[in-house]
Amino acid sequence: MTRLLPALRILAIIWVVITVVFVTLRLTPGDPAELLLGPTAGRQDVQERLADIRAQYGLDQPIPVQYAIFVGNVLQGDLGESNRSARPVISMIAAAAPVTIWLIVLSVGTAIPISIFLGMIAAARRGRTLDRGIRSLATLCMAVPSFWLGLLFLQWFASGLGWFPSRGYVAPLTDPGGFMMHMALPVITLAIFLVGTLTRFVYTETADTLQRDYITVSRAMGLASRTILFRFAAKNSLTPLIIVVGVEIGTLIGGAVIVEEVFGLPGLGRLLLGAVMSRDYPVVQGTILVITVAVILINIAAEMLYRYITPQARS
Amino acid sequence: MNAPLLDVRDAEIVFTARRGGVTRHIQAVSGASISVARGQTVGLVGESGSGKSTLGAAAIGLQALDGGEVLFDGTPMPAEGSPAWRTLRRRVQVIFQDPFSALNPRQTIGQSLAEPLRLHSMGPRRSWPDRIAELLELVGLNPEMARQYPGTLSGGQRQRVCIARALAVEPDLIVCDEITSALDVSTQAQIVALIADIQKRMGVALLFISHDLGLVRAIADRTAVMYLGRIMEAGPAGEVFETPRHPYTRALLGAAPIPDPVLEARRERIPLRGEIPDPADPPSGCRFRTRCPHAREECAKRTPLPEPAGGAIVACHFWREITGTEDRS
Amino acid sequence: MSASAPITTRIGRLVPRSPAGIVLTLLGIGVVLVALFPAWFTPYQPNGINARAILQPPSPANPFGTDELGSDVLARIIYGTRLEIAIAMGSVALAALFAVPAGLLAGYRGKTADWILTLIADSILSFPIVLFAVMVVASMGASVGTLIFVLGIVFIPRIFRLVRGQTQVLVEQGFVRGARAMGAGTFDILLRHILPNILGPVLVIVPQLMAVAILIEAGLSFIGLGVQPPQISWGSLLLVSKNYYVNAIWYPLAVGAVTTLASALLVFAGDLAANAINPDRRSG
Repeated sequence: MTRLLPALRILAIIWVVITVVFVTLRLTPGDPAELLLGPTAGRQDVQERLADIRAQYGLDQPIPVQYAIFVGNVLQGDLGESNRSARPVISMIAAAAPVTIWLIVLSVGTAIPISIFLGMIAAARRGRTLDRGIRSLATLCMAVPSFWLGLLFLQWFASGLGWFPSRGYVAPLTDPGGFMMHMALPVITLAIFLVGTLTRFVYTETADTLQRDYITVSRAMGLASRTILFRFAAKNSLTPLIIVVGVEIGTLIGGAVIVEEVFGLPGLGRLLLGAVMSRDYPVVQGTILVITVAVILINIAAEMLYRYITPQARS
Repeated sequence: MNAPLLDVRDAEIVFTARRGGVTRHIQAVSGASISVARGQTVGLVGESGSGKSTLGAAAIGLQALDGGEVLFDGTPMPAEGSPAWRTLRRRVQVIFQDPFSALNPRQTIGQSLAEPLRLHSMGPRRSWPDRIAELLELVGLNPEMARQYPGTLSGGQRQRVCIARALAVEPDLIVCDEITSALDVSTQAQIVALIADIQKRMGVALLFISHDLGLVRAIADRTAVMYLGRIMEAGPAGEVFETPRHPYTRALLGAAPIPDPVLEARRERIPLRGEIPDPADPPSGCRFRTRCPHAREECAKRTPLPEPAGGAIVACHFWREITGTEDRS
Repeated sequence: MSASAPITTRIGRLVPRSPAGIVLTLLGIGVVLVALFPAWFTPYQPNGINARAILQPPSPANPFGTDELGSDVLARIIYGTRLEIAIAMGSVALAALFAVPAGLLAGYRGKTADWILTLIADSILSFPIVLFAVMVVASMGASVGTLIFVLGIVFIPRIFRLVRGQTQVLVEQGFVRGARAMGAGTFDILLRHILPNILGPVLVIVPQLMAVAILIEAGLSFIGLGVQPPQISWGSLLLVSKNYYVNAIWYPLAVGAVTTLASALLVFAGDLAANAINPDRRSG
């Protein structure tokens, strides 16, 4: 079996991603220069601007040259400028990224302890009512559309009960309390989805662990069964759990995109969707490229960690 | 017609394995020759890792050679996919070690048995059910079994089905690759008895690969002993088993006592000391020397070539000396 | 090592034995019937306008109430089922069409073909699904065809990996080596020996992929990249009902609950099927 060096594989995948993004823009109906320029109504200098853009991206050149220029620009960190605000795409991404990172980190931090707790209880009560209840709940958490749940939360806890601000965002350093209040509902919404996936995983892992020999041995040695369960199983499922989060980071970011839209958080998801709606192609391209590369790196880190802890693991 | 049915000459087979970025070349078979005459049963004996199964696969064209040649019925192995290749696939059959994986779990026994008939267009399709029933009876199974799935059969029954499948196309040679080692002892004896009986009745040649000397002794006309990719000793089964000449064969058989009291004492404790060496890094000279009680400096320097010894051939520099000093007669 | 569990499975084991399995199967058949013959299940038209019955709460006549145009919400959900099923099944079928042959080729032949196909699959897999969908839909325009296309591509690596892995295991099995020794050609082996043995595991992931399809369809609809009116899917209903959380909560509640229930039952069905073919590792 041909096994590529990890670094080479990362580069190959990143190259594919860049290429796909390039090709997608090509496949979009219309003149790419006009797409990159954006809405032109009311502008005096349309022709000049189009000429500028054609020169900048080499759009008057043959496709392979355009491709080379595109790849070259991306590798230099030049993702172009927003055709709406004329800001560099890279700085817009830098501004939006912390919001998304906070959302994901807080959601993962909330979901992991809950999932370990629920998964282990279910495994310990395997086959009983509590187990079935927990696992049905986990399946429901996975199956519920998160934007729908988010809107319900907004309706009940923000508009109805007034416990939380309904939409928007405050930076953690400006107003830590306000930050927590604004983040609470989005984090809970995203965490619920995660709890669904992770609880099912912890359950399977723990059920396996419980059957393994050393648990039997320590039970024979007279340790209380609850202590065994929590000490051994918790330790054993934490690392794989972090790996699962790493592997599922793409799904999580997909969820974050939608949750940000629901709660009006100015993160990467909102940046992307706003750009899609306003046909701001440089921003769409740049955001997708940056997020996807980040996801790949996290995936690969998780995979390497997995290989490291289980030497015999097969891909 | 004097040419043997199967003639493997100086076969070389090297596997390339990469582990952790390090490429290793494993000499699975080096310079091994073996031949099987029509209707003859040849036993190929060796420990696991000796390369005997690889040699068996090469003998029927399922493993490419890196050196040497395989002649079947006097002609070299045809190119894969050629008409001659298809004919060869009918004339040689193989039975594998693990009867549990040898049958497609999604096919009934009848479908499994029909496969070789279909592949080699053996008679009209409507004749197959009778042929299948006949084959099942031949191997001592109830013809009704054709409708069952392998999941309901025991290991011994499955191996019988595999024998029946190999016989379906009336081959000239069947390679039996450790066909009993996955079975329990009483079943082993039955399967060996069955294959020996069929061999006699149908006159098919067998290459019987096994690590079990007892079984080989019971079935083989000729025997070859393999160690770490090389043939150590080969000859008529009676001669190899009654008067083993190579120290390895002698060790395997737990042969005649060694006069040297020190060696004798050692031999009693560990008839064959240590493990088989790493095939990626085999010992120089004689491959057996690291485990041989008679090893000397010479053995590390020169590779012993197979030389005639009575009716057999032996690859040992000192076989005369060893057998001479121990000759009890 | 001999005859490991995924190989010894038979189609027969996929026929549900447990009460839950039977209930789910009947439910599945019911949903397909709803999709095919929606008029059997509701007296209303999905796009009927009734100015006197706008945003009415649930009543015996309209169990889930009415929408902003006075249409029966249940009728709209029922008529939305067809596209929902079409998208979910169509995308999985499209993916299988490419992924199964590719997985067989990669798993059986290995070497260069395997390297290239695996690289393609890994690349697709590395795109976050939602982002990939947003990118493609943004450039190709939103339609049912685009949704099926995007989801189909997204599912390819998931089916490919499974087929490839199963094939790699099967190739080492005695019955495949034996068939090759008997002179069976590649096509013969793939068709008669490998395909029948990977069908079970592939069918098992189908419900799970369908659940993902339903959720992605809902998500894309919510951000305006889903099915376009007048076509109805559950996702498009969720989008429309977004405006009525205050005045007519039953409307979004009913649509969301149906979507959740459907995808949860699909996940559950997948778990049951997985347990049926691999009883050693119970997870559902």
